[in-house]
Amino acid sequence: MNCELVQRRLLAAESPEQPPADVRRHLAACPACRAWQRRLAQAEQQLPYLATPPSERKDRVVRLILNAPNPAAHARTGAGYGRGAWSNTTARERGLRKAALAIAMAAALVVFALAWWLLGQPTPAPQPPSHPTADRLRKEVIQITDATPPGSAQRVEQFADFGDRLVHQDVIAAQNEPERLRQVAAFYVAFLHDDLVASVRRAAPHLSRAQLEALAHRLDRAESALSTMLGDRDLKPENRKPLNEMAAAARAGRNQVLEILDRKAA
Amino acid sequence: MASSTPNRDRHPDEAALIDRARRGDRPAFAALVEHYWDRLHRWLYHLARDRHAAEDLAQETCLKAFAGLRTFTPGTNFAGWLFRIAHNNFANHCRSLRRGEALPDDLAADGEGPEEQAQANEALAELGRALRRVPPEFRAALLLRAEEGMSFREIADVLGLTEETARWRVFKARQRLMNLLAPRLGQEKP
Repeated sequence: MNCELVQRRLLAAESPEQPPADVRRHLAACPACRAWQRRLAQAEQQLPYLATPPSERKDRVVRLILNAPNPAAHARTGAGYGRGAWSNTTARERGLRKAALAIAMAAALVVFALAWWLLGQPTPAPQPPSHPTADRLRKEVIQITDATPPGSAQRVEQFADFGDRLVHQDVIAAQNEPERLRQVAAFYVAFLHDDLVASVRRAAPHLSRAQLEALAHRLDRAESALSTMLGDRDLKPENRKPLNEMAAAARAGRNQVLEILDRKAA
Repeated sequence: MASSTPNRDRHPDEAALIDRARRGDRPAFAALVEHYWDRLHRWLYHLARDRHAAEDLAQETCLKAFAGLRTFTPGTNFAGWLFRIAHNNFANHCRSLRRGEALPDDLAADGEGPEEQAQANEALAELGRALRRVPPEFRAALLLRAEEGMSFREIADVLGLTEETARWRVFKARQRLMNLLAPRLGQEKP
């Protein structure tokens, strides 16, 4: 058994540090292969110690699971992931499961989209009570996520359109209803960060510079529009804070898009 | 920078938690998420090489698992089932990036991320750089073996492969890794 063959056997072994007897015999007589085996085992043993950025999302996902509507209504029995060990069914049941899988996956997508939007909300504890305006806006975001592929330019564009509508229509319509305006503002702040900018990050590899620049320009216009409203001498005092928050969010969103654009240029 | 010691253990009450979660007990499933999140996130990060995508994919995995928990067969490998969902999500993520072939190893245009830069141990940093240059389909298999301690059979179930193909992917990943590390180690290539 030559060294090249032994090393290939080690590469293919489930546990290179515990090779079969014939390989062990060669290793006992070959210092070079022993050293090679040591390096292979060491490299693999070190992999779990590679740096990983800390996760910031775990606690929010746990909260979401604890507070989400019961998904049991969406789940269907019989749909399975993968084959073999997890699926102990007859051929007929497997056929039924295939049909049920499409329903289960579509339902899971709806649950996921709702959960994704819920995570974008401000996270005080306890949660603020539901408001018709916020509910309506949530549903619209869910419709966009349902209708567009994740990480797509299409989703980014529709989110941008939605954000523009919030600023240029919903805010104006809510000027005489302070509570409604507060709901729109709170929604907009969370939406920009957790939906729009997040979708831009995900779609960034295949967004053009022109698209990113156009998006930054839209957020700039949104900030300008909100600043104009803040300069209105007839502005109700109680409207100042939500509009300021929206303007700050638009500015932050624009800056984040510009950062993504800069990274593309680098 | 987070660097964890490997934890391949099942939750001590996993079977009971799964049973309760399947009957709608949300805190039970939340406990499973707490147990598996870091491992999922870590694996997805080393596949996607993008911290935001890793967070998104880990979240998507947990929520899909939550919604589809009734499809899991009690008594079988829950970790494998979960990682299978994660892999499917990663595959969808790759498709959404409109790449028809294996992703380039480094998705970050600016090379090393802050995590690698902060890696105190140069040998580990070099290992990380080498791992990034292993194609993702090989990397996925190798990390399941090295970090999760999965057998070739289990890796095959997660990645939707035959056992032989799973073995071959681990082989190729190790071979590539050793070749990349060879100039520093002065070793011969098999």
